[in-house]
Amino acid sequence: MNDETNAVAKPEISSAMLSQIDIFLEDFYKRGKEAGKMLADADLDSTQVRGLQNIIVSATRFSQILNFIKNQVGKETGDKKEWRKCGKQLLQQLETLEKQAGEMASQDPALRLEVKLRLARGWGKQVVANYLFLKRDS
Amino acid sequence: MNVDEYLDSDEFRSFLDEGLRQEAINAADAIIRKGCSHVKRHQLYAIPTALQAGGVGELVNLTQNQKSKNTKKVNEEFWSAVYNIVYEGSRTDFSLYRTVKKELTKYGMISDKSQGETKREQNKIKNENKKLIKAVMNDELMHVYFEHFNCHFFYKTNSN
Repeated sequence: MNDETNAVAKPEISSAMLSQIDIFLEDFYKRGKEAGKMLADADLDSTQVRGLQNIIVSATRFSQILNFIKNQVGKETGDKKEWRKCGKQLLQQLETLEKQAGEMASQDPALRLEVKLRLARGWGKQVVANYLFLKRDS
Repeated sequence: MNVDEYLDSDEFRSFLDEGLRQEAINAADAIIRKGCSHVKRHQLYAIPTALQAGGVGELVNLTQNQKSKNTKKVNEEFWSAVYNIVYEGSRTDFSLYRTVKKELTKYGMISDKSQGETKREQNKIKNENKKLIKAVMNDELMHVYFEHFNCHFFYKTNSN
């Protein structure tokens, strides 16, 4: 996938907005935890989940995260179905985050892009932490 | 705003992430519905390879060659559809030219050619608009569009 190499100045996020993001992530925790369990139940190995974590952390566009998951589902062949078991639900959760960012920053494209990425990163931490916890004895 | 300002703007970044993505998804879904879901993966891999090798021009050449040489109906239909996306003269539903023109119109960057009093002036406006749209349909935009397109195509054709 192509990465944009231009450095982009991040918009200032007010402390009120940061609080809103935190509150939303707190409320969304149960779903993030479910997503982590889904990855564990689907038998994804830790390198695959680390790959997801890496793209979430390094993405400069929210859609890079969506496209990563779609690509992982798309390239599974034969009997391998790990990503196919959980891809749809992961995408649905990310779409909820995107919708939330749209509500929080509808008029400001830069802010909306930044909020989406922050929500995705917060969600990613929830998902990966729960996955690792469930897989700890494997 | 001028084209350089637009290409540096948050509006353009937002378009790459959201509006362009939706257009690519709609195009991929439509092509799949037309019966192209069995197109082999390597056909789609050729798209970013062509862009990497020679930019938009190389991609247009690729689509032209593929649609004219392919004897398999599904591949011919697929490449015809992709040609209609990338070829600047295309005015079909999923034409990128039309998508970008619509996006730039939102920011008042596309002039109405009827503002020209003479045919010559109208053609001048039309050509300036075309130059502007082509400047935005740059390699970055094409790469991102086909990232959205290919990933969604793979996802939809492999997720059942």
